[in-house]
Amino acid sequence: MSMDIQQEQNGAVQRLRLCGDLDIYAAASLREHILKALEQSHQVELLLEEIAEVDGAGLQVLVAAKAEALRLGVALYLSGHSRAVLDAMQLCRLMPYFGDPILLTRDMTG
Amino acid sequence: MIAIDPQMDAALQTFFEEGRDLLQEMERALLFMESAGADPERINAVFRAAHTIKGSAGLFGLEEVVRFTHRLENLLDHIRSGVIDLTPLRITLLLSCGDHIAEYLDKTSADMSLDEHFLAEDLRLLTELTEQLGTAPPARTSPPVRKSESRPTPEIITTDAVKTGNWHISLRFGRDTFRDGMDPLSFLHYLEQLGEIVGLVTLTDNLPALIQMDAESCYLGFEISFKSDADKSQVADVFDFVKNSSIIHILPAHSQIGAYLQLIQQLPEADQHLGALLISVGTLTHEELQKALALQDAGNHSGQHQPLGEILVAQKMVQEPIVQGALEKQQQQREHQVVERQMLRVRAADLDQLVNLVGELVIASAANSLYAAQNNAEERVESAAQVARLVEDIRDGALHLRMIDVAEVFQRFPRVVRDTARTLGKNIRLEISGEGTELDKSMAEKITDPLMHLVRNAMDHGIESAERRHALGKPAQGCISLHACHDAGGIIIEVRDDGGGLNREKILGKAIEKGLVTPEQQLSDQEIYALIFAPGFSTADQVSDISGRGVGMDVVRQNIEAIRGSIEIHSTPGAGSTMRIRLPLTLSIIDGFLVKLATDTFVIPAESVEECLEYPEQQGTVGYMVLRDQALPLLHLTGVFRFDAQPEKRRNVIVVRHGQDRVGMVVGAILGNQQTVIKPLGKLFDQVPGISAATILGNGDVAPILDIPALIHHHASAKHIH
Repeated sequence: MSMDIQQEQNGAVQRLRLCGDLDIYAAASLREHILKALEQSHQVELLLEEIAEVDGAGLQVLVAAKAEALRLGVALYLSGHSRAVLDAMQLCRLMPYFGDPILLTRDMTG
Repeated sequence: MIAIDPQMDAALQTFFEEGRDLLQEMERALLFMESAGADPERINAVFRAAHTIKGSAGLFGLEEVVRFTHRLENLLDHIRSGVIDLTPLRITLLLSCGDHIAEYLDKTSADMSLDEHFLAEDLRLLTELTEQLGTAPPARTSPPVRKSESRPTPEIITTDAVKTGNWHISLRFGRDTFRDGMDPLSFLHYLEQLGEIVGLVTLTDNLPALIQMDAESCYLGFEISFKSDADKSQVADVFDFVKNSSIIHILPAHSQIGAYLQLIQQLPEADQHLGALLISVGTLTHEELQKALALQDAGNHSGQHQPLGEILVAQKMVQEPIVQGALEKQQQQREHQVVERQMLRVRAADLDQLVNLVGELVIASAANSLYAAQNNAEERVESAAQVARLVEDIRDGALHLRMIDVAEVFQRFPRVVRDTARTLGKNIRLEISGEGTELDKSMAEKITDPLMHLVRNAMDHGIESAERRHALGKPAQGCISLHACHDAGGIIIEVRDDGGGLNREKILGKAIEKGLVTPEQQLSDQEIYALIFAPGFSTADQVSDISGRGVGMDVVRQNIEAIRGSIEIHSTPGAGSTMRIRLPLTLSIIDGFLVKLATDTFVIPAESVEECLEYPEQQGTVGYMVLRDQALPLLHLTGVFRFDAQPEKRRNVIVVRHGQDRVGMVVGAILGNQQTVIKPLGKLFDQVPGISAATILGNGDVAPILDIPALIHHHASAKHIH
């Protein structure tokens, strides 16, 4: 399953809704989208609730995006972490790096 | 027990094969050291073999092997570090241990249970290993040897060892990791199955800015503190697929602080930064890091630019063998990989299946040619000829696949000779020549036992005792040699000894006593020597463990003849004897020479045909003809097979040779060469003299294949009786 990126404007926040697999096949296009969003807005939100799989390539883009946002002074939020995203971040101990609040739903704790 | 998963099963089979190879390597190294003295390289080879077997056995859950090899490895480690010497007694013990592991592998691969005998041997060897270890003086470097069963090798703890009981793993994945289809996260998942990831830091230092990064390149790195009971090879195996493209450092638990220092220096990031990482992962304490860095500074100030490894070794931070071992391991792995890419393991059964199919193809192609010729369609004849030629090439290729080097047959003999020599109390060396000669795999399997018997026999009966050799002015050390070479259409394998030779009179006397021959018979030396192949014949005055029970030589001959081979003996009194085995090149397909007898077709193996002549009808004699001023004995096949038909109008003579003997076979028409697939005869026809097998012709007819050696033999013995 490839990734589908939907762009939404929520007030001042530009929101990218990522659906599908956050993996090597999606990494290049995701990078483009995030770059554009970081140029256009001062607040960018990545909605991750519909991400089914995460691999190192996908995770790496998120890490680079966060660093780029810091450099540009853009606020980048990650929200609605799906189970797959949480697992990958937990594995790499990257939660503190992104520093986003995480909402644990029941199926994630179980 | 062993998993039933087919993939796992295939891997297990590979392990069995590799295990046997490793054990053979180990045996070779040990035997070499026994004669030439211990050398570090070979001790290491033995150690590596044991270690690899243990590691792989662990992967498959073969606990007994792991437990046993672990003890063996302990002893080897002591020998390797020079704590104890490699005495002949220990070599014998190590050889027995190798045999024991081989037996375990054999039993497990054949799904056999471990019997009492095996377990008793297990206990005996383990006890002996423990005794050998127990007598070892404390290690040179004096730190106590860890007595932990879970460690692969006894590890030495000095005051410099760090506190943590966790492993440290540093990973810097190569840029192409994603493109090679691999995901760093899956390696971490895999690692979690071996133990617990206690601490982990994801390194983002190498990650370029988003605007510059190539999203498909991998920039990830990890520092991991890892808690596990696995051994180093198991942990290293996790990263097997990326070991060439990535930077991977694995430090076992309780490594010396110098090892961490080395790690810090080897990794691309700045030293202080790395040090901080090691602390945050939980691998080093703050004090330990300070100590390491202080050491590094001291090294830099000494002025000379010594490689780090040398500094560490000089400061006794790292045991020299460890460094040496690591280097060698790398080298070996590299070599192994090269070989792996060049060779392919194929199941023998698949190969047999292929050769069978090629056999059918040969028959079908013959039929094709036949019908094309009958229809007189020129183009079809031509294309059939083309197909036939290609089939011939495929046949050769398929048969060649089954060829193995005779060295594989010979490789077990150094051990056999050594053990037999010990049992006999004789000093005998083995010389091997003619490696590179190839023979069919199934033949190689079948020739091993007869060869083994001949070698033992030669050592027991052929080579004299040391006193006798001395009295005769011969060198005290006896010599057995195995030799192989190609000879027109066949392979010759010789077993030679430099002993006393066969005792002609003794053999003759015994044969007369047993009623095998009569005293009046005039026999050549060759014929007398051949008597030792008669069932129940033994001239040994004393029955020994090795040979002399009179079963054997007749079985040897039977086994050799069963693969269409023959054996002859040459012997010189006082100088030794030679057993010469002649084998055909292949067992399944031959070039046949088709001849007609009355209305039936017979096949003569083309390899034994020397020439064809017209039968000289005008000459008066029946039993021989003159060929280039020499008498050629003639064999009338119509007579041998009792054909009642009228003599044919035109007869031909096929001159065949076997060994030194030549005979002219008188036949009817000559039909020419054809590839012939050998089909064994059923039990009913097994005993028909003069026929070794049969084949199916293109038109579906069955044609018997003539047994040339038997026919010549028959003719020769017939001649003697008259």
